[in-house]
Amino acid sequence: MKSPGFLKRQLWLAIAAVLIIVMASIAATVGLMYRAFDSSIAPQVLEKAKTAGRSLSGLIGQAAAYDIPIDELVGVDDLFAASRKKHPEIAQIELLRAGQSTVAVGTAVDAAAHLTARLPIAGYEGARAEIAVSINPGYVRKLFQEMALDLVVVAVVTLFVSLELVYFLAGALVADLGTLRAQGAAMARGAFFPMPQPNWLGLEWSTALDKRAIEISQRYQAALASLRSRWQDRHHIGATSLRTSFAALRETRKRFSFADARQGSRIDGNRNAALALGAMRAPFFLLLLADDLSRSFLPMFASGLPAGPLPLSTNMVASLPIVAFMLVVALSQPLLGAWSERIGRRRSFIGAAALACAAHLLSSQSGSLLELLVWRCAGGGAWAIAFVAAQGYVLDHTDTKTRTAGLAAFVGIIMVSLICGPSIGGILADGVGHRATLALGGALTGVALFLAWRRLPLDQPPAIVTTQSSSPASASKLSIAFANPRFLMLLLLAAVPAKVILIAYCYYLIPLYIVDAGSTSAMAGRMIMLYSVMMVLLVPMMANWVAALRARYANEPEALFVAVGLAVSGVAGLAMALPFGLLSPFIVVLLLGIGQSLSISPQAAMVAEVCKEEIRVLGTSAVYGVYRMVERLGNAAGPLIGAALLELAGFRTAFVAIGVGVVVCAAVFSIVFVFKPTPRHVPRVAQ
Amino acid sequence: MNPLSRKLFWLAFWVIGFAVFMTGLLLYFKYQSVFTGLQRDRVMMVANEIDDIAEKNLSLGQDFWEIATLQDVIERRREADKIFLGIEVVGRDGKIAYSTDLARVGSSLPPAWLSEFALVRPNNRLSPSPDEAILASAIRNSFNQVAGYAVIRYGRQLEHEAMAQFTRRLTVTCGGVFLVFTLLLWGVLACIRNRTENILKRAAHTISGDAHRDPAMAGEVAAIEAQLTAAHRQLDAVNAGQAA
Repeated sequence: MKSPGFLKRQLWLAIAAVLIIVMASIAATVGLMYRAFDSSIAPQVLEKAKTAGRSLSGLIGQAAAYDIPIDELVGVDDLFAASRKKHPEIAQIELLRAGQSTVAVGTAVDAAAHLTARLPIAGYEGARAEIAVSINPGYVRKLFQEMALDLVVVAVVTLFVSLELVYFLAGALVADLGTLRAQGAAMARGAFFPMPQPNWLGLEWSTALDKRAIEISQRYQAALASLRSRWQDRHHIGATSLRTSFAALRETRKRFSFADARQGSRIDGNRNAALALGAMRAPFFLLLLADDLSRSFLPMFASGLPAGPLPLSTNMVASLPIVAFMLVVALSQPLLGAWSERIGRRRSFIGAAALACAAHLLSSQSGSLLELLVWRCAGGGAWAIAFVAAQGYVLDHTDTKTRTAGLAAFVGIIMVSLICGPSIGGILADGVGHRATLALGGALTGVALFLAWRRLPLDQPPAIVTTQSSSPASASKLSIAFANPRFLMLLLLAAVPAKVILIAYCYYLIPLYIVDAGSTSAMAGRMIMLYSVMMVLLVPMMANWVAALRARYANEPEALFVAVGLAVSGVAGLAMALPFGLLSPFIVVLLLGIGQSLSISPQAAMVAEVCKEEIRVLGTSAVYGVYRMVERLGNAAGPLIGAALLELAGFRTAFVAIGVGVVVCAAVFSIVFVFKPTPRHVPRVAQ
Repeated sequence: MNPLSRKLFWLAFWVIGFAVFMTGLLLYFKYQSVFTGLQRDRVMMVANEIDDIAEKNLSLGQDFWEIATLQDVIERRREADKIFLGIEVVGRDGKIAYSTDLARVGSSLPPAWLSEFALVRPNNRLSPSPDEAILASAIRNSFNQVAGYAVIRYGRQLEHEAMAQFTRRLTVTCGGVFLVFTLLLWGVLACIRNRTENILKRAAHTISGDAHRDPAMAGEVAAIEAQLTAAHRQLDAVNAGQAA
C-alpha cells in the first residue's frame, strides 16, 4: 500500500522542518550572544589577571627588602606555574626586566595588548621589573564549548517537547492525516464503504474517495438486489443461469468488502480515540515532567533539610523522599484501578493534578525532612492516580486494534518526560535553586490541572471490560502467585534486583556522587537523561532481537536475555572502581542502559511463561499486577540499600556492592532458568 | 488568517518560543555563574594572600593580634581594587583585629556570619544586602586549627550592572531570533500544508476521472484505481451472469 507513503512523508517532512528550524534558532541565539558574552567577560578576566599579577608582584617584591637582585631570584617559574594552574584562563605569566622577558611560564599567545595586564614590582623599580599576565583569548570560546553539552541537552529536550506541542496544538491535523491514510489504505485494499472525513486537510481527496466508494457500494447493492429478486423467480427462469452470477458474487465478496466489519458503532471510534488520547497527552506529560524535574537534585535538597528528632544520617535523609514516593506508588497503584474506574477517569485525573500541584508547591516550601516526606508521599499518590487514570483513558478509548498503538503512545509520554525532566531540572536547579525548581514543578502541574479541566473529555463506558485495572493484588492472589517457586525466584532474582540497581544508581547514588565530585545537578540530570535516551533507543531493538531469535531458533531466549541483562547491569557498578572521575558514572549509566534494555521486555514476557497455571486461575492482569507491585517495591528498596551502603562504606563500595549483588542474582537466575528451563506441561494420561 | 493557518502559527510560536527561551535561560545562567565566579575568584585570591601572610607569621610564633605587616597589606589591597568595600582580619570569636576601616577594629562580626564561615564551601558567599557580598578564608595556625578569618566585603554593583546589560542584550537577541524563526517555521509549515493540499486536490481530480496524474501520488492513485477497476469488472461479471 503506497497511499500512506505520501502522507507519512509529508508528516516526516513537517517534523524534520520543525527540528531543523528549532536547531537553527538555538544556534542563532548562541551565535549572536557569543560576542556580547565575550566583550563583557573579557574585562573581568583581565581584572582577575591583574589581581593575580598584584599578588605575584607583592610576593616577588618581598625579596627586594632583603636586597636580592632580581636576576638571582629562584623558584619564580614554579610560583608562576602554580598560579597558572589555579587559574586556567591565564595563558602566560612573564617576569620582564626592561621590557625583556626573563622568566615565562605558559603558552605564548598572540594576545592583543588589551588582554595583558602589566604590573610593576615594588622594590625593583630600578631594574624596571614587571609582571605581565596574559589571558587566553580563547577563554570565552572555551566557556561556550563547556556549555555545548547543556545546549545539546536543550536541543534534545526542545525537540521532544516540540513533538509534544505538535500533538497538543496540531493534534487534529495529525488525526486528519491518520484519517486520510486509513481511507486511502482501505480503498487500496478493496474496502468500499463510507469512512470518517477529515476536518482540516485533504477534504477534496477524502470526498472524491468517498464518492467512488459509494458508487461501487451502490453498484454492489443493486447487483445484490437484482440477484435476490431473480433468485426468488428461479423457478420461472431456472437456477442454473444464476450459478455464474453467484460464483462471481462469491469472488467479489472475497476480494472486496462493502461494509465496515469492525465493531459497529466504532467507525468514528478511532478518530474520537485519537482526540481523547490527544487531550490526555499534554496534561499527563506536564504532570510527569513536574515530578521528573526534581530527579537530579532531590537527594541533595533533602540532605540539606533538618531531620529534626529523627536520628538519621545525611545519606539516609537524602534517600527517604525517593523511598517514600516509590513506596506510595507501589502500594497504591494496585488499589487505584478500581477506584479510578468507579469515580471516572476525568475526575480522578483532575484530582491527581490538583494534589500534585499542592504537593510540589508545598515541597518547595518544606522546612524539614518530615514536611518534605509528607509532600512527597502526596506527590507519589498523585502520580499513581494520574498514571492509572491516563492508562484507563487509553484502555477506555481504544479497541483491540488500536490498543497497542495507544499504550505505545502512553509509554512514549513517560519516556519523553524522563528524557526532558531530569536534564532540564538539573540546569534549572543550578541556575535558580532547588526550591524554585520544585515550585516550577508546581506551576507545571497547575497548567496540567487547567488543561485537564478544559480539555479532558467526559468519561465513556470502556470499549471492553478491563480486568487489568480492577484486579488489585489481594492477599489471596498474592499467596496463590507466591506459591509458585519459579515465579518467586523470577521476582527475587530478576525483577527486584533490576529495579533496586536502577533506582539506587540513577536516582540516588549518581546524583549524590556527581555533586560530591564537584560537578553540578545539571550533570546528574544529563546522566539520567542518557539512561532514558538509551532506553528509548534500545528497548524496541532488544525486543525485536528476542522475537527474531525466537522465530529463527524456535526456542525461548528470554531467560538468557534477562540473565545477561542483569549481569551487564551488575557489572556497570564495577566501573566505579575505575579511577576515571566523572567518566565512571557515565560508563555506569551506559552499561546500566544496555543491561536494563536487554532484560526489561523478556522479563515481563517470562511471567506469562512461568505462571501459566496461575494465569489460568487468576487471570493475566492479576498475575501481572502482583509482578508489577513487587517490582515497584524494588524501586522503593533501591535508595534505602544505596543509603545504607553509602553510610557504611562510601560511594565506590556502595556502587560495587550493589553491582556484585546483582551479578550474583544473575548467576543464580541463570542456574535456575537458563540451565534448567521451564518444564513442559505433559498431559496426564487417562487411567 | 484561516483557522488552520492560525493553528500552524501557534505551533510555530510555542515551539520556537520554548527553544529560544530555554537557550536564553541557559545563557543567562552561564553568564551569571561565570561573572560571579570571576569576581569571587578575584576576591578569594586576595583573601588567600592575606591568610598566607598571617599563617606565615603565626608559624614564626607571632601573636595573631600583633602581625605588623597585615594592616599595611590589607590597606594596599583595598586601594588596588575598587570592587573591595572593606577588608578585615578577625579572630576565631569574630573580633576584628585588623581592618581597612580603623573604626571597626575591636568590634565583632555578627555570630551568624561566623557559623557560615565555618561551613564555607568553595563557591559559597554571604550576601547581607543586595549590593554587598562577603567572602572569608580561614587562617590556620601550625596545628591546623582555625585562628581567625580573612574577611573581604565587596560590592555587587558591577555585577548588577553587567547582568542588567547582558539581560537587555539577551532579551533583544532572543526576541529577534524568536520573531524571525517563528515566521520562518510558520512559512515552512504553511508551504508543506499547501503543497500537501494541492497534491491531494490533484489526486482527487484524478480519482474523479481527470486524466492528469500527479507524480507525487501516482502510486497511491494507481493502487486505488486498480482496485476500483477490478471491483467494477467483478460486478460486471455478476451482472453478466444475470443477463445470461
